[in-house]
Amino acid sequence: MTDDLRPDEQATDHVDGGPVPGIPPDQSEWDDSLPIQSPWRIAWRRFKRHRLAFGGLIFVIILVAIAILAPILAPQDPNVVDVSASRNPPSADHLLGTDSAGRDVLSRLIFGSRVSLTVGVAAALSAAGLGTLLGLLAGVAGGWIDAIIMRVVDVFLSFPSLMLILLLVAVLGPSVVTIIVVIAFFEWPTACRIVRQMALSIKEQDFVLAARATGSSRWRIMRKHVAPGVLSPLTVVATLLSAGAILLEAALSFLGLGVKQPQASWGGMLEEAQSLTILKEMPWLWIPPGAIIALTVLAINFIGDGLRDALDPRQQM
Amino acid sequence: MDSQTTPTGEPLLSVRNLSTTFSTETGLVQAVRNVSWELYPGEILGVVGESGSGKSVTMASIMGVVPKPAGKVSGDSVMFEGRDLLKLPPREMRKIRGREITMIFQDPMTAFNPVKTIGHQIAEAIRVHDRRVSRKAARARSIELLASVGVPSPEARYSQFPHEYSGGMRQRAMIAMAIANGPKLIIADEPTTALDVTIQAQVLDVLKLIQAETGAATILITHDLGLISEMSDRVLVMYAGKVVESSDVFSVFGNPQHPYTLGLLASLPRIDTRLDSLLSIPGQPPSLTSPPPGCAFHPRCELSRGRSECWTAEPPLVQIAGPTDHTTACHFFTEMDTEAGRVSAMLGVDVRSKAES
Amino acid sequence: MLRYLIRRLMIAIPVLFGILFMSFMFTRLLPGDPLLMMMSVEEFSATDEYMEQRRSDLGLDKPVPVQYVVWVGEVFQGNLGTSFHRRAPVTELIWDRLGPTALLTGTGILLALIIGIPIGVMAAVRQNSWFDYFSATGSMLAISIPNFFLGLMAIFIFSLQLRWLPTGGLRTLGMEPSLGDSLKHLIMPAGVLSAVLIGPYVRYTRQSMLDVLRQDHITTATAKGVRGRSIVIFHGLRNALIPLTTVIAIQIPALLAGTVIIETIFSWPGMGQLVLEAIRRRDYPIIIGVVLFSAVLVMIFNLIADLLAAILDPRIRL
Repeated sequence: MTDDLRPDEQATDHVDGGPVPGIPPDQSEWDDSLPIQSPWRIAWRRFKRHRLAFGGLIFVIILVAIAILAPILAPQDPNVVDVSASRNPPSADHLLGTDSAGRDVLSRLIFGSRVSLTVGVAAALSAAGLGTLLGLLAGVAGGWIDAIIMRVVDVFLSFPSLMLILLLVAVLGPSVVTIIVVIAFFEWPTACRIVRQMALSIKEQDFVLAARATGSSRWRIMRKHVAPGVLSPLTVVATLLSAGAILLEAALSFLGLGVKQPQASWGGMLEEAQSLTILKEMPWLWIPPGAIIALTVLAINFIGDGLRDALDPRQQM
Repeated sequence: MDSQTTPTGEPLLSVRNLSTTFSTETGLVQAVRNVSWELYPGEILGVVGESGSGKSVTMASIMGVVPKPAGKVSGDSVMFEGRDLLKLPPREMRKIRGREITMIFQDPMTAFNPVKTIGHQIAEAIRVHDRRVSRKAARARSIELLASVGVPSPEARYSQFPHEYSGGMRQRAMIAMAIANGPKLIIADEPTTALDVTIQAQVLDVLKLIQAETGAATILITHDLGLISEMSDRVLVMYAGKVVESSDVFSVFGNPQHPYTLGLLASLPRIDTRLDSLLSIPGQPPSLTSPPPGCAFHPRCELSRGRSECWTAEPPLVQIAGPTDHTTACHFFTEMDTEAGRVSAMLGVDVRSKAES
Repeated sequence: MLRYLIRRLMIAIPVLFGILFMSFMFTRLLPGDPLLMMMSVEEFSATDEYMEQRRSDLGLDKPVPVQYVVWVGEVFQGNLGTSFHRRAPVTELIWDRLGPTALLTGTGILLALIIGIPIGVMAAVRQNSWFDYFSATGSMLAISIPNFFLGLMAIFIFSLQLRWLPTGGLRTLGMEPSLGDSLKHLIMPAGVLSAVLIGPYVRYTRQSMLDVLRQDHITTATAKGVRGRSIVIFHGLRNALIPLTTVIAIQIPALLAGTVIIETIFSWPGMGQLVLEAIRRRDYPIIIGVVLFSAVLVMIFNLIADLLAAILDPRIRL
């Protein structure tokens, strides 16, 4: 027996001594031999079968296109104030009517997608990035570093993050960048927990133990084995984080602490509906932005669900 | 055991053309394919085969515990004391499960609910079938049962949780639960596989004792040929969801009439053979989504030697002429004596005679 | 059991000090004099000399770690400072708002449990059925609709169009307080608040039930002849509840965050409304007080959940 035998070859080399007939893995001609496919390809195939997730993906793609092409698609300038045309119901000129300042609701809706999508993507990526970094550190380093990071996570998760986000935005002044930074600062612990969990379980797997036995350094193991392994659950988490971030931004804007007026944002458009008159008499002012937030978040959540099923059917939240 | 070699009288259980399929992501799995067999009162029937041969699924189908909706059971009938279990309404079936037919599972750790006491779970088995039994009476009876299977200080053990029991103790408790309602049939699915070797023997002794005491017919599912030869009266060999050979234990081990049975015997290590001369069956169990055409065993069969019958025609289960009730599903079983001789010569020991030890 | 409890407390204590530390950092990082955050009502009209005395008493001229210790000491004595705007002790203000918020969140959780768990169980039992499909889509919808939009729609439909329910408030002003009137006011905000929770409860119950129903002991129970319904409840749900306790506790911060919006929309005089008002007015002592109070509450609920899990699962008790 030579030294460079791979472990799996060694296993087939000896005759099984147990009561079960030892059966060497021989190519059975009746086995459907599947062509070897990359895991991402298989995942894509599974994802496509998830109809709601696929629908969600198409919805988001369309939304991104609308956000990019907003200046071309919008029938009017979203910020032009026309007091004479205040609170007009939908008409040929203004398909979704006008708001209290006489601005075109449809145009504001189209431009509002930019804020929601920017916040959704940027906040989720930063939160996931920060969470991954700390999660990997905790999971791979272990010991007291792990203990400290996890206690910090516990502390962050104890706070109702909306209150702190509101506070910080109020102090720092509302802007898209502030909102992104603040959301990322309070939403990273979810990603951190999941990445740590994955890192821990990967660390215990045989191929990693083998790598460690052959003298690979901790950080090499992390780069080569653990980091790729956490990628698939991380995609799911990032997706769900972005749905959460969009909801948070909408809530902030709804409370008047989001992006600065007159910039259009969906949550901000709903702010006016806190007045009962508008709520009752002018549904065109608040139903479309509310519905579009719900649809966007729903679409992203469906994508997250589809990704979870596609990447690992047994993976839970 | 002696009186059982040629069973007579009415069978307790009679399975007719039973099939079970599972729909999975990769296609329809034909776990059990058209099997028929009988079980007579008081006998011990050993069912042997590789994992995936359909042993356990057959029993689950009889008990009506095949996971739904993925699993689907069909067939002519499963007659148990004059009732067709396949056509019994769920309510009636429930009365049979756990009272007239009971099961002992492979892994006693997972087979008990981890958050309820062992005693509670045994008492539940009693009270589920007879609401008139008071909680107190069920408790007393459960403690009695625990004592009868050799669980020490059963009084205290009654209120312990599964994780507080050792593996062997858990399996004893499982046996106690299985005999709680005086069953007519006990199905033991690999009852000792999950246990340490030293514990295995003890649990088997308990099982034998209980079987002798209660006289319940027993189906013993295992891949351990040694266990079969030691415990059972008759043997059923299953391969790829089908019965390929059946007879009394002496005929099957002493005069195997199917190349798969012979292969199993040849791969069994014995004290008088050298380990390196063990033969293993080449290849691996076939896919049950698309079983090989003809005889399912033919891709791995030494006897087939590429003859076309093997992959064009499915061999029927036929009766072999002789004093015993011996059936086999092989086109060329008449060549089995020569084949057994050849294999024995290769191993330097007669594989046929050894299993009776 | 005792050892488990102690171990849980050992983890909770550093978290508590972490929560205190973060709150403390806010008092120092927010604009304004930290002294202002720790004064009592009377002190607002005190002389400058007195204030300098107070400043050194509170250790504000000492290094930050000392300040932290002094601050924690004050907090443990119930001193969370005084509201700039309302000129009343923060502890008192929170105490006044605690009742309505407890009523709202308590009803919200209860509704979510009563609705969410049975749906989750049914969805698991009838996996891949139409019911499962609808409940999955429905709970996804409940997670995705912003609660302020849901609240506005509820008011629009039930108050403005159907005129069944009042638009907000704790009770009808100028009317004798009655249970019926209070319930009428409670049902809509509590229902909207519970929507945030129902989605996760349904999903986790379903998943946790599926995990349990796949286990071997369920087959054992079936083979024993236990009835289907009993298996689902006494063997399935009973075991599935163990992981669910944690999930229920994990949702508490989201629930408290939800009160900020729900209480604003429905003019519900609770802590959420208090904190939002304070944020708008930059009334920092109130904000920090409520945030700190909420975090400690969350920590306590986590402890309770762990305790509950230990009671439900004999394997943890050791």
